[in-house]
Amino acid sequence: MLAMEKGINCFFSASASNVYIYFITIAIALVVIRVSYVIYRSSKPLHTTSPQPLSTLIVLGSGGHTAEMLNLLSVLHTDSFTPRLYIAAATDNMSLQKARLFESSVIDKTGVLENAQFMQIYRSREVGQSYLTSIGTTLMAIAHALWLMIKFRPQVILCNGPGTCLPLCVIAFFFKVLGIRWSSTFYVESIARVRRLSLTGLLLYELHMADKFFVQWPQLQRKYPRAHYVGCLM
Amino acid sequence: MGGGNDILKPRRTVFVTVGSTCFDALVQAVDTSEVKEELFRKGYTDLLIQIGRGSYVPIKLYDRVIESFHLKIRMPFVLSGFDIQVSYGKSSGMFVSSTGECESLQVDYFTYSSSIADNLRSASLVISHAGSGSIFETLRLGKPLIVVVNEDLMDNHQSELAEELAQRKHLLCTRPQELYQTIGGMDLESLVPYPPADATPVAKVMSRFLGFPDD
Repeated sequence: MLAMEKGINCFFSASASNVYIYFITIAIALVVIRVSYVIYRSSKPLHTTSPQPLSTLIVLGSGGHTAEMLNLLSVLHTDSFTPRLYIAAATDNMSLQKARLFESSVIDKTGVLENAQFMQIYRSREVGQSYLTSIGTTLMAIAHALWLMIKFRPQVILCNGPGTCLPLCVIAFFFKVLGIRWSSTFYVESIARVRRLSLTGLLLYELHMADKFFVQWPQLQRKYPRAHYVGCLM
Repeated sequence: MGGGNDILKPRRTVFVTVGSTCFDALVQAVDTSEVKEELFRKGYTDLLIQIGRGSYVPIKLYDRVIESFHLKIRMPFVLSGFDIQVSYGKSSGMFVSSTGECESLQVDYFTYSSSIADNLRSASLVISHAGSGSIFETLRLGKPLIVVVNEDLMDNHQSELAEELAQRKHLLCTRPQELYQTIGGMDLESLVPYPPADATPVAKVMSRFLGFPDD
């Protein structure tokens, strides 16, 4: 009797854990399928019959990165990328000033007040900051990035390093997986990278988080075949 | 008479910049008599150094030479001014040219400037650290450029860019200890102008990807 009871208990607990394993397996499979689908779909062009202007997030790196980004913006049809939100690191005051200057030139050209916003974002780690305190600041930076992304929900993300853009790109990818917002991320590796990608570039490339990945030197394209070689932006 | 010709000769300035970095090795290299001698031999008259955060300060033995130079401008025929210069000799950056004339390479320096654009524009030769900002600012102005790579930097991806551009003959790339040899052997005529930047390929790929008509 006892042995039988024990056997039944065993059967039930075994089946319960089986059920758990079953559900977990299905959940993981669904997530994997969804992530693969998002990666697959991201690599394909958007097929829009009547293209509407797309809300665009522009992440400004600093000095040289910002200069390269502004060179790109100057040849872009800005009316297709509207409204625009510019984001720069909280420690970088020059970049947003330069972006404001660019936006005022756009207004001069078209005569309409474009919808452009400018914001600063916390950096996860400053140069020389200790690792212990950087855990806190990293969480702060992620929370801030998440709040900005929920508020703005961009359809296009334009970035070219350094690390400031990484949390924003990761959040955008999760929004795609969760079905919150579909967006296209474009990453242009800096002209200073000739033989090796930057850490940010490498992560975005390997994790398939950039829909289009641009490099400015042919030898990098040979090394990373999914990248597009587009010549120099400087 | 030689003094008179000297005044009419256009100034040819060498501008050295380390940007916002600390690159004493470059400032020190430029401050050696070997480099100054090579620059003088190539016909440069002034040397302006932006030293940035570095702690090494170029030797300013030149104050008195500049004074005597002004004297020479006012009174080119007064030979006593000429004599004073000779007495300072090589240590003050003065060299006796082949015709026996005595001329000097004037040296000056500063730490920072909000914009080095004017310095770059008035320079005949630029010697720079390997930062991409300084490199492209100089190339855009079409100035001959020698990039000196800082070998003390840990992650030295910056040298990648300078070496690549040197291979394409847009600039010369060297190390601090080889700077005087680079100047001695340089042929600025062989440098190829840097082509203007073009961001339209990126914009085209993006537009096509997003379904915007490209025009």
